[in-house]
Amino acid sequence: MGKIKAKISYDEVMCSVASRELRDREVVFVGQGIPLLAAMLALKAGKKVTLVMEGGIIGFTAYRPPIHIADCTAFTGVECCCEMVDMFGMFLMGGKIDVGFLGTSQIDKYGNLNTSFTKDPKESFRGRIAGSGGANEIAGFAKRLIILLHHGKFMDKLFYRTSPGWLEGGTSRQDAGLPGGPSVLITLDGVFRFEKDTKEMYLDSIFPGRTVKEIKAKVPWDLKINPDLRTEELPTYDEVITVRQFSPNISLGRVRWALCQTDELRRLSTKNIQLCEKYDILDSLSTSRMRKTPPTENLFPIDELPPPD
Amino acid sequence: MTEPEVYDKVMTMKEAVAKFVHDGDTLGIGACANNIPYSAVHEIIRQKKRKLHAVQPTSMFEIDMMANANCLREVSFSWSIRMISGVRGIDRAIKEFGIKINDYTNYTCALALMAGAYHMPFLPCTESVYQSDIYNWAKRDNEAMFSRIQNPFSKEKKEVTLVQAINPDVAIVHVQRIDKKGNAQSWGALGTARHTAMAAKHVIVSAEEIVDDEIVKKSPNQTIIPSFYVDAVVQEPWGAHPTEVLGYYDFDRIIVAQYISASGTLALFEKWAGEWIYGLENREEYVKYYIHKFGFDALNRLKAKQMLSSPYNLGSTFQTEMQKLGVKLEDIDANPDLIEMEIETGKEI
Repeated sequence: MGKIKAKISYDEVMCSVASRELRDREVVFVGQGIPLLAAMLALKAGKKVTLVMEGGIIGFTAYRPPIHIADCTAFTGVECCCEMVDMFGMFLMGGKIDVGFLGTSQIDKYGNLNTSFTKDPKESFRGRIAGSGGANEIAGFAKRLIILLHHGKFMDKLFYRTSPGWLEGGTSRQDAGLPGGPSVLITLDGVFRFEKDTKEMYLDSIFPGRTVKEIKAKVPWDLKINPDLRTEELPTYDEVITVRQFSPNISLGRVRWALCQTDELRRLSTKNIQLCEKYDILDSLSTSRMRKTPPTENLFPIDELPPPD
Repeated sequence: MTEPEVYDKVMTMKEAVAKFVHDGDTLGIGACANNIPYSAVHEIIRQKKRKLHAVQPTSMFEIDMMANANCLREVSFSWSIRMISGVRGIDRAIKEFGIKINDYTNYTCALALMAGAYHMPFLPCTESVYQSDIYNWAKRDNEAMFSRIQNPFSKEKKEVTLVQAINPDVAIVHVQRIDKKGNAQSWGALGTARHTAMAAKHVIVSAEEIVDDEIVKKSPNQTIIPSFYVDAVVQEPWGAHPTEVLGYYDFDRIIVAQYISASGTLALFEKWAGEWIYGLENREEYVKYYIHKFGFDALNRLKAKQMLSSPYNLGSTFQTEMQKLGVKLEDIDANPDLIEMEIETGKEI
């Protein structure tokens, strides 16, 4: 029998690469969406990580993607529940959090993040993105920060700095009295790390099928490239199955999830909502919409990869 | 045994909001994404309260709804969910109704409420805020949210960033259960519920059920707000719908999706609110209308299955006479002949 080809998306590559960044015995402060999905992959792969979420949830295993930062109904069991101030004030400030795991909308060359505004809200009321949430302190105080840029942008200068990265590079972060700092950025194209002294971002490895030229075009400054540029390994069959089983739907961001929900609802009459719920159509359509593939391809949560073409 | 004076806290949401929420008040919403007191929020909108200042670190749709309904003059928060049109009620309300938005981070907003709860004027917060535009923009706009002072205990004369306390006039909180006296019990992620309630002058608590105080006394660590903080006790099943309440029901996407699309324009919102807020008298009608519209199964599928907590021992060496006999007061009340006296000889001193 010849080899069977399985189709995967760059979202899935991103998840699996991000999950490999986590190490045993680490306490990971996870954000919503892909960070959580990647953390679940790491758990599945047998890594002994403790996951925490800012709503006040510590040590959980999820059986479906939580809808927001305090969604206890998504978990099969939680080791500790507490309050939000404890989460930040004690655990994060106390240096108990090894890894901060965040998504962002905009990033500059020193890993500073913007998740708040693209325009001044006084001038345009369409400028607000989401706001800081817990991002500012997670970026400021986690020992190590993993950043995911899913549909965001590289910026020469941020319009608004929500969360501190390496600030102006060099020792500026240390001088400001902040511990830790960004350690890695993962996009849909590759993996970026930060130089030891200048703290400037460089391209460390790329995903199969992507080119340096393509990546350079997305970055407004002259991006440095690792001389020993590696190509990342593709996810394993197991990893892809885990991603798809766990989260065929909303793991890939609340915005898109919300978009699809409403979009779908417009087409639904009240009668067939139950039918949709039954087959999880609301969920699966969101994935297909996001990937711009026809809905038939991903209609149901699949436990097998699509057949070869 | 009856204490009528402590039981008069039990009231309807209509009474509670009319009595404790006034135009111009600072309103603390004691929930971060779960257990959101939607029944109180809807009642505030229904009673057309105006010029409120809403405080809540992470907001799902409640602040947005109130902004759309022109209930707000000011919002202090750190995060809000994005809407389908790219424009939220709060964004539009900046233009339409001139509301002011104070941007915090989750931690600093929670700290402001914590400072309020501990009756401190301010609390030191983090350097990461000082290194961000959250601080810079607050300074630029002359907001009195943050400040810097020299740490008097620091030999190197280091500076610290401070966040000013927030003391809401009234807090609204939704919990799992409460007794008639007002001891509110909740479990799961607690967010900022405790500090919001304890920072506020008045507290309205809605609960999925009002339980016997015996139940509260058998799980005292679950009590997040003691009775003397609570001004109004409202029994409101499905009171946090469409968000989830652990152990009772899950998040409801259907109604949320409807709201997200309705928030696109003010006209659409008015239509939605006419159907789901203004058109209904109270939460009971809301639930009935939901069943009427989507069917009983649609509501039923959200109901939580049972996973009971493990019991723990609250006993000591001491036992009351009734505990020794294994009877309860209400058993004796119901059946006065339950206890029969019997003389035991040999017990004389």
